[in-house]
Amino acid sequence: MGDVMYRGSPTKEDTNLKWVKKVRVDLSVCVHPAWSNNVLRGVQESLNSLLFRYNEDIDGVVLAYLDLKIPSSKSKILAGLSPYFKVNLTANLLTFSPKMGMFLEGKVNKIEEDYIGVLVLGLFNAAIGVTDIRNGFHFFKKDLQGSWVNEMERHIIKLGSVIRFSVKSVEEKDEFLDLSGSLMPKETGSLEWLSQVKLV
Amino acid sequence: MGVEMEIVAQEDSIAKHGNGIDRSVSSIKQELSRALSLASEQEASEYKKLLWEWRELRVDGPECNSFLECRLKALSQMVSYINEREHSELLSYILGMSLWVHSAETSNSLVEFVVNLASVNGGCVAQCLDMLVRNFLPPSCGLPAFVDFFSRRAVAKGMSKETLMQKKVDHMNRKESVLDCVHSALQRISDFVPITSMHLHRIVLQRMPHRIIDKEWNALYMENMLRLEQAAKSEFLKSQMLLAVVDRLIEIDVEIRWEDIVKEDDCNKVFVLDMEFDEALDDNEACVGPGSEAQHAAGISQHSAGGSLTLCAVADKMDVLMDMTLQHLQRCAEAGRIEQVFNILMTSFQSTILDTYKSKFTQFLIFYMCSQSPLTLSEKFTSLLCEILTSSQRAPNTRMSAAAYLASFLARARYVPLCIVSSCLRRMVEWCISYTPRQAEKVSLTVDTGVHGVLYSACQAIMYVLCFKMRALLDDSVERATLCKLPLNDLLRHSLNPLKLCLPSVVEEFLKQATAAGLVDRSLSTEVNKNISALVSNSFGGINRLDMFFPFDPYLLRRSDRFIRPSFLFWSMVQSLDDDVSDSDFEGNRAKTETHSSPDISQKPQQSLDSDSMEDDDSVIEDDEDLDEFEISMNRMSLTPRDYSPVLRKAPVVPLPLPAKLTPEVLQQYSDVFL
Repeated sequence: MGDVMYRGSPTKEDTNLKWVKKVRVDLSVCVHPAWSNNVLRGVQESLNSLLFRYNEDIDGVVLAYLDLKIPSSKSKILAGLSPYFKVNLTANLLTFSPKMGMFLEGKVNKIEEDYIGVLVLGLFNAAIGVTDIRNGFHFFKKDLQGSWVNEMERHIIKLGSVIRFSVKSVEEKDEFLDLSGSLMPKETGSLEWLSQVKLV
Repeated sequence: MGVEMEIVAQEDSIAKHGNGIDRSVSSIKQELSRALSLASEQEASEYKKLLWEWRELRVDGPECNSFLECRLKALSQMVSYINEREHSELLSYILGMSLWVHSAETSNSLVEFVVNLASVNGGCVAQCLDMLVRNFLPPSCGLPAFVDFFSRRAVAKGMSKETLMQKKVDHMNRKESVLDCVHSALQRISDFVPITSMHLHRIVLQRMPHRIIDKEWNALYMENMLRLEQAAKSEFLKSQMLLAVVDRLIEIDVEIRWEDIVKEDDCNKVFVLDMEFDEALDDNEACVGPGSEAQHAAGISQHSAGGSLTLCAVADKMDVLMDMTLQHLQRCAEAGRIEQVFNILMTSFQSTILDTYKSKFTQFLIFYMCSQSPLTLSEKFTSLLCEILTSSQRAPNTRMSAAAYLASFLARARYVPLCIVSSCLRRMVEWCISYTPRQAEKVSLTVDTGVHGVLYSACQAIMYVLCFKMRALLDDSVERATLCKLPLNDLLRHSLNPLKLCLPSVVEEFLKQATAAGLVDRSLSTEVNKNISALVSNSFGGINRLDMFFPFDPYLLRRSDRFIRPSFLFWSMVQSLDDDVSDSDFEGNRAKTETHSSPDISQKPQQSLDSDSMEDDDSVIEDDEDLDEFEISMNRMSLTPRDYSPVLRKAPVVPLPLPAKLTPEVLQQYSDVFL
C-alpha cells in the first residue's frame, strides 16, 4: 500500500448512483524492478492492493480503476536498497463513498429477529438493527422464513427484497467498511412498496 | 438453504429441551439487552455482573452448559446491540471459547452467535473469522493461540498443562463434528459477507502453526486448509490455500537432507516412530484420528527444544502431509477440478518448487496430477519446462533446474505419451545445436559448467531421457523415424563438448544404448572413454562437474507412495527390458547384479517393497565402501551403478543404491556403512 501515492487533489464526478463517484487522480506508483519489462502489469499489481479497501485520500472505497495513462516513458529510479522506480500516472477510480444520512439501496441477504442484513452493490454489508426499524414493523416467522412486516403500510421486507435505507453510520476498521442503516425515514423500505406508494 | 436447516436443528433442540430453555432464553434476553445497552453508561453494573458471571463460570460444573447455551442463544438474537468497542471484554470471552470443549448444543449456539455477529457488524468480521480459525485445532494441542478462554483461565488458576493435554482423546473423538461445524460456519459467513475472502486467507496463514511442531497438529491444520480449499467459493481463497499448502510441504521437504538420511544413527527411535503408524494410518482420513496415539507427550517440548526432531520424525511428518495432499488432489480430480488445480500448482511450481534446491518430495504432487490426465497435463507441464529452459530471460539456475525436471519427468513418468517425449527431445536437441556462445565468451571457449551450464544440463537431460525411453521410442514405428532423424551426432560433437561434463554414468549408459541402436557413431564411445578416464584422474567431483539432481527419482515415503508407484518407471524396469534384447557385448564385464524377475513392480504387495531400492540388490553393502563412492551413487541417483571407469573398476564393489523406501532396515544398512 505504501507504494501508491496521491499527487494533487482528486477531482470528483458524480455517476448515475449518488453513492458511487468517479474520481480522477494523479498517482505515483513505486514499481518493483522485477516488473521492469512489463510496467503496466507492475502498476496494476500495486493498484490492486487498493481495491475494496477504504482510502482516506479519496474518502471512499476503491471499486475499480480505469483509463490508466502513463504519460512519460521515463521514470526515476529511487535510491535505496532495491532499485524501485517511480511511475507517474493518471487514472479514474470508481469509488463507493456512502455518507451519513444518504440513502442507499441493497438486497436483503439476512433476516433475523433483531436485524436486517443488506448487501450493497453485492459487496458491502450493512445492518439495520431492530432499534432502527420504524414502528409498525414487526418480525414475523412462517415456515422458517423470517420477514419484517408492516401491516399498516401493507409493506413486507423479506429475503431477497431490494430495499432503500438511510445510512446511520459509516465506520472504518482496518480499511474495511462497517455500515449501519436505518429504516426510520418514511421514504425508506422495499423498492417494490415505494414504487407502489408513489403510484397511489 | 443451510441457514434454514440450521434453524430447524436449533428449534428441534429447543423442543427437545422442553420449553424450559426457551423461556429462560427470553427472560435472559431482556436482562442482556439492558446490560448491553447500558454498558457504556455510568450504570454499567448489570454489564459488569454479566462479565463477572462469565469469567467465574466453572466449566466442569453441571450448570455450565445450560448457562452458556441460554446466554449464547439469547445473544445470537441480539447481536445488533453489540458494539466491538463497548463490549470488547464480553466479546473476548465469547470469541475465546472453543468448539471442541462444550456440548453440541452450546457449540451450535456459539456458531450461530458468531455467524450473526459477523454479518451484522463489519468491525467484528475479522475477529469472528479468527475465532473459527483458532478452532482448527483443539485446545489440547497446547499451542498458546489455540487454547480457549476457559482452559487458559483454568491453567492460570493452577490446573496443570498435562490435564489439558489429557483431554486430547476426548477432543479428537469429536473431530469430525467440530470441523463440520467450523467449516459450515465459515461457509455461511462468506455467503453473507462477501468481503470475507479478503480477510480469511490472511488469518489462516497467520495462525498456521510452525512447521516443527508435532506432525499431528500440522496435519490437522493442513486438513482444515484443504477442506477450506474444497468448500470455498472464492477462487482467490482456493488458490491461496493450495499455495500455502505447497509452501509448507517445501519447508518440511528441505529439512530432510540426504546427508542426514545417511548419518542418522538413532535407529531404535526411528523404529518406534515408524511402527506406530503401521496399522492406524492405512485408512484414509485416519492420519490424525484417535488411532495415531503414541505421540511423545507433547509437541511443545519438541517445539521448545528448538527443532531437535529426528530425521525420521520429519520424514514421517512429510509422509503424512504428502499423503493428505495427494488424497485431496485425487478428490479434486474426481470432482472435475483438475485443470483449475493444476494451474494453481503450476504457479506454485514456478514460484517455489522449481527454484528450491533439491526438493525431494513436493514435486510429486505435480507428477501425480499429470498422471490423472496424462495427455493434456503432461503436455502443459513439459512445454512450460521447455519454455523455461530455452528462455534467455530466465536465470541460468532456473533453466538448469527446468532441464533437470524435464529429464526426470520424461524419463520416470510411465504415462507420458511417446509423442510428447519425442517432441520435447526434438525441441531440446534443436535448441542445443543452435546454442552459440556469446562473442565475449567465445574468445576463451572454456568447457565450464558455470558459463554454459544450461547447455550441459539440456544435453544431459536428452541423454537421460533416452536412457529410459529409447527402447520404447524405437519400438514405435512413428517415433522411431523421428528419433533417427535427431542430429544426435552433431549434438555430442558440439564445440563445447557436452560429453565431458555430463554425469559419466548417464553418458556411458546413453552411449551404450545409442551405439547399439545405431543412433550415434561408434567412434564416439571410445573418445568418451578416454575423456572420462581423464576426468576421473584429475577433476571428477571437482568444480567442473555438472551438479545435477533428478527431481523425480524414486519416491521414498512409504505411505504416500501408493499414489506415485503405479505410474512410476523404475530403472529396473528399463533394465529388464533392456536385458532381454541388449547386445551387451559393448561391455562384456557388465555386472549383472540386477535380479528383477518382473518389470511390473507395481503389482508387488506393499510389504515386500520396503527393501526395494533402485537396484534392488541385497548384496550391496560392503564395509570397505567409502563416502566418496557413496556420494557418486547418490549423485547418479539410481542410474546403473556399474563400474564405469578404469579407476573404480579396480574395486569390484557395487555402490550402495539409493533406497526406495525410508524404513528402519534401510536406515540401518546406511548407518552401518559409516560405523
